[in-house]
Amino acid sequence: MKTHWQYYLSRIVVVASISLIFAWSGMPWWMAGLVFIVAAGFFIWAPASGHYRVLTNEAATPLRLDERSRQIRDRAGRTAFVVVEILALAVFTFGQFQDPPVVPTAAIGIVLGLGMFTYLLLIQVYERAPQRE
Amino acid sequence: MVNNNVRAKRQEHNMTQEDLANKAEVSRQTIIALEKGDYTPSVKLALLLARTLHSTVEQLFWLEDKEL
Repeated sequence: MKTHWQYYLSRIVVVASISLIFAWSGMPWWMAGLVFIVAAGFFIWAPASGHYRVLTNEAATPLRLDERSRQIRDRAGRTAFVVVEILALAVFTFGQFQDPPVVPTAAIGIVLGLGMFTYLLLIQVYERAPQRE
Repeated sequence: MVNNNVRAKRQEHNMTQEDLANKAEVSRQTIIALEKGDYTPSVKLALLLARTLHSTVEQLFWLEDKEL
Protein backbone atom coordinates (compact mmCIF):
# COMPACT_ATOMS: atom_id res chain seq x y z
CA MET A 1 0.00 0.00 0.00
CA LYS A 2 1.28 3.43 -0.90
CA THR A 3 1.54 5.98 1.89
CA HIS A 4 -1.11 8.68 1.67
CA TRP A 5 -0.07 10.80 4.65
CA GLN A 6 -2.35 13.71 3.70
CA TYR A 7 -5.29 11.32 3.69
CA TYR A 8 -4.48 9.87 7.12
CA LEU A 9 -3.72 13.26 8.68
CA SER A 10 -6.89 14.91 7.35
CA ARG A 11 -9.11 12.00 8.41
CA ILE A 12 -7.64 11.89 11.94
CA VAL A 13 -8.11 15.67 12.31
CA VAL A 14 -11.74 15.47 11.10
CA VAL A 15 -12.60 12.47 13.27
CA ALA A 16 -10.93 14.01 16.35
CA SER A 17 -12.80 17.28 15.79
CA ILE A 18 -16.15 15.53 15.48
CA SER A 19 -15.48 13.43 18.60
CA LEU A 20 -14.57 16.58 20.58
CA ILE A 21 -17.77 18.30 19.41
CA PHE A 22 -19.75 15.24 20.54
CA ALA A 23 -18.01 15.30 23.94
CA TRP A 24 -18.53 19.06 24.44
CA SER A 25 -22.18 18.78 23.48
CA GLY A 26 -22.97 16.33 26.25
CA MET A 27 -21.96 12.89 25.02
CA PRO A 28 -20.02 10.92 27.69
CA TRP A 29 -16.25 11.14 27.12
CA TRP A 30 -15.87 7.38 26.89
CA MET A 31 -18.51 7.27 24.13
CA ALA A 32 -16.86 10.13 22.22
CA GLY A 33 -13.57 8.24 22.56
CA LEU A 34 -15.25 5.12 21.19
CA VAL A 35 -16.59 7.10 18.23
CA PHE A 36 -13.04 8.35 17.58
CA ILE A 37 -11.52 4.86 17.76
CA VAL A 38 -14.14 3.26 15.50
CA ALA A 39 -14.12 6.06 12.91
CA ALA A 40 -10.32 6.44 12.90
CA GLY A 41 -10.00 2.65 12.69
CA PHE A 42 -12.24 2.60 9.64
CA PHE A 43 -10.26 5.32 7.87
CA ILE A 44 -6.96 3.56 8.63
CA TRP A 45 -8.33 0.18 7.49
CA ALA A 46 -10.16 1.35 4.36
CA PRO A 47 -7.23 2.09 1.98
CA ALA A 48 -5.40 -1.10 2.97
CA SER A 49 -8.50 -3.27 2.63
CA GLY A 50 -8.62 -3.07 -1.15
CA HIS A 51 -12.36 -2.41 -1.05
CA TYR A 52 -12.00 1.25 -2.01
CA ARG A 53 -10.20 3.33 -4.57
CA VAL A 54 -8.19 6.07 -2.87
CA LEU A 55 -8.09 9.32 -4.83
CA THR A 56 -5.51 11.44 -3.05
CA ASN A 57 -6.24 14.46 -5.24
CA GLU A 58 -9.82 14.51 -3.89
CA ALA A 59 -9.23 15.99 -0.45
CA ALA A 60 -12.82 15.89 0.82
CA THR A 61 -13.91 12.47 -0.43
CA PRO A 62 -10.85 10.38 -1.27
CA LEU A 63 -12.53 6.98 -0.76
CA ARG A 64 -14.55 5.81 -3.75
CA LEU A 65 -16.57 2.69 -4.43
CA ASP A 66 -16.19 1.02 -7.81
CA GLU A 67 -18.96 -0.63 -9.85
CA ARG A 68 -18.74 -3.99 -8.05
CA SER A 69 -18.82 -2.42 -4.57
CA ARG A 70 -21.75 -0.21 -5.57
CA GLN A 71 -23.66 -3.24 -6.89
CA ILE A 72 -23.02 -5.07 -3.61
CA ARG A 73 -24.19 -2.13 -1.49
CA ASP A 74 -27.26 -1.55 -3.68
CA ARG A 75 -28.24 -5.21 -3.36
CA ALA A 76 -27.65 -5.24 0.41
CA GLY A 77 -29.57 -1.96 0.77
CA ARG A 78 -32.59 -3.28 -1.12
CA THR A 79 -32.70 -6.45 0.97
CA ALA A 80 -32.24 -4.55 4.25
CA PHE A 81 -35.05 -2.19 3.23
CA VAL A 82 -37.40 -5.14 2.69
CA VAL A 83 -36.36 -6.60 6.06
CA VAL A 84 -37.15 -3.27 7.79
CA GLU A 85 -40.51 -3.05 6.01
CA ILE A 86 -41.51 -6.58 7.05
CA LEU A 87 -40.39 -6.10 10.66
CA ALA A 88 -42.10 -2.70 10.92
CA LEU A 89 -45.31 -4.19 9.54
CA ALA A 90 -45.08 -7.08 12.02
CA VAL A 91 -44.52 -4.69 14.96
CA PHE A 92 -47.37 -2.44 13.85
CA THR A 93 -49.73 -5.41 13.38
CA PHE A 94 -48.74 -6.78 16.81
CA GLY A 95 -49.55 -3.38 18.33
CA GLN A 96 -53.00 -3.33 16.75
CA PHE A 97 -53.93 -6.60 18.47
CA GLN A 98 -53.17 -5.18 21.93
CA ASP A 99 -55.98 -3.88 24.13
CA PRO A 100 -56.00 -0.91 23.75
CA PRO A 101 -54.19 -0.83 20.39
CA VAL A 102 -50.73 0.76 20.61
CA VAL A 103 -48.04 1.92 18.21
CA PRO A 104 -44.87 0.53 19.79
CA THR A 105 -42.56 3.43 18.94
CA ALA A 106 -39.76 2.02 21.11
CA ALA A 107 -39.58 -1.01 18.81
CA ILE A 108 -38.94 1.19 15.75
CA GLY A 109 -35.37 1.84 16.96
CA ILE A 110 -34.79 -1.90 17.27
CA VAL A 111 -36.25 -2.49 13.80
CA LEU A 112 -33.98 0.18 12.28
CA GLY A 113 -31.01 -1.29 14.15
CA LEU A 114 -31.81 -4.74 12.77
CA GLY A 115 -32.09 -3.22 9.30
CA MET A 116 -28.64 -1.65 9.65
CA PHE A 117 -27.22 -4.93 10.97
CA THR A 118 -28.76 -6.80 8.01
CA TYR A 119 -27.24 -4.27 5.59
CA LEU A 120 -23.73 -4.58 7.05
CA LEU A 121 -23.98 -8.37 7.30
CA LEU A 122 -25.16 -8.74 3.69
CA ILE A 123 -22.30 -6.55 2.42
CA GLN A 124 -19.89 -9.05 3.99
CA VAL A 125 -21.83 -12.02 2.57
CA TYR A 126 -22.06 -10.55 -0.95
CA GLU A 127 -18.39 -9.52 -0.92
CA ARG A 128 -17.49 -13.19 -0.56
CA ALA A 129 -20.13 -14.59 -2.90
CA PRO A 130 -19.49 -14.95 -6.65
CA GLN A 131 -21.37 -12.46 -8.86
CA ARG A 132 -21.29 -14.26 -12.16
CA GLU A 133 -23.64 -13.69 -15.06
CA MET B 1 -20.23 -18.22 -17.58
CA VAL B 2 -17.62 -15.70 -18.72
CA ASN B 3 -14.02 -16.91 -18.54
CA ASN B 4 -11.03 -14.60 -18.56
CA ASN B 5 -7.28 -14.53 -18.59
CA VAL B 6 -6.81 -11.24 -16.81
CA ARG B 7 -4.30 -12.76 -14.39
CA ALA B 8 -2.06 -14.10 -17.18
CA LYS B 9 -2.17 -10.82 -19.09
CA ARG B 10 -1.45 -8.85 -15.93
CA GLN B 11 1.54 -11.03 -15.15
CA GLU B 12 2.75 -10.66 -18.75
CA HIS B 13 2.92 -6.92 -18.11
CA ASN B 14 4.61 -7.40 -14.70
CA MET B 15 1.79 -5.63 -12.95
CA THR B 16 0.52 -6.24 -9.44
CA GLN B 17 -3.19 -6.45 -8.72
CA GLU B 18 -2.94 -3.02 -7.11
CA ASP B 19 -1.25 -1.55 -10.22
CA LEU B 20 -4.00 -2.91 -12.45
CA ALA B 21 -6.71 -1.74 -10.06
CA ASN B 22 -5.30 1.79 -10.05
CA LYS B 23 -4.99 1.92 -13.83
CA ALA B 24 -8.46 0.48 -14.44
CA GLU B 25 -9.92 2.72 -11.71
CA VAL B 26 -11.39 -0.07 -9.61
CA SER B 27 -10.63 -1.53 -6.19
CA ARG B 28 -8.10 -4.31 -5.63
CA GLN B 29 -10.92 -6.60 -4.43
CA THR B 30 -12.61 -6.26 -7.82
CA ILE B 31 -9.44 -7.42 -9.61
CA ILE B 32 -9.16 -10.34 -7.16
CA ALA B 33 -12.82 -11.31 -7.81
CA LEU B 34 -12.32 -10.95 -11.57
CA GLU B 35 -9.22 -13.14 -11.65
CA LYS B 36 -10.99 -15.82 -9.62
CA GLY B 37 -13.86 -15.73 -12.12
CA ASP B 38 -16.23 -14.58 -9.37
CA TYR B 39 -17.20 -11.34 -11.06
CA THR B 40 -18.41 -10.52 -14.55
CA PRO B 41 -17.39 -6.93 -15.33
CA SER B 42 -19.44 -4.27 -17.09
CA VAL B 43 -18.64 -3.48 -20.73
CA LYS B 44 -16.94 -0.27 -19.57
CA LEU B 45 -14.66 -2.10 -17.14
CA ALA B 46 -13.89 -4.79 -19.72
CA LEU B 47 -12.85 -2.08 -22.20
CA LEU B 48 -10.76 -0.30 -19.56
CA LEU B 49 -9.00 -3.55 -18.66
CA ALA B 50 -8.37 -4.34 -22.31
CA ARG B 51 -6.86 -0.91 -22.88
CA THR B 52 -4.74 -1.15 -19.73
CA LEU B 53 -3.44 -4.60 -20.67
CA HIS B 54 -2.86 -3.66 -24.35
CA SER B 55 -5.28 -6.32 -25.42
CA THR B 56 -8.78 -6.71 -26.83
CA VAL B 57 -11.90 -7.57 -24.88
CA GLU B 58 -12.19 -10.84 -26.84
CA GLN B 59 -8.65 -11.80 -25.84
CA LEU B 60 -9.41 -11.13 -22.18
CA PHE B 61 -12.96 -12.49 -21.89
CA TRP B 62 -14.84 -15.29 -23.58
CA LEU B 63 -17.99 -17.34 -23.08
CA GLU B 64 -17.90 -21.05 -22.27
CA ASP B 65 -18.60 -23.16 -25.38
CA LYS B 66 -22.02 -24.31 -24.13
CA GLU B 67 -23.20 -20.69 -24.04
CA LEU B 68 -22.23 -19.96 -27.65
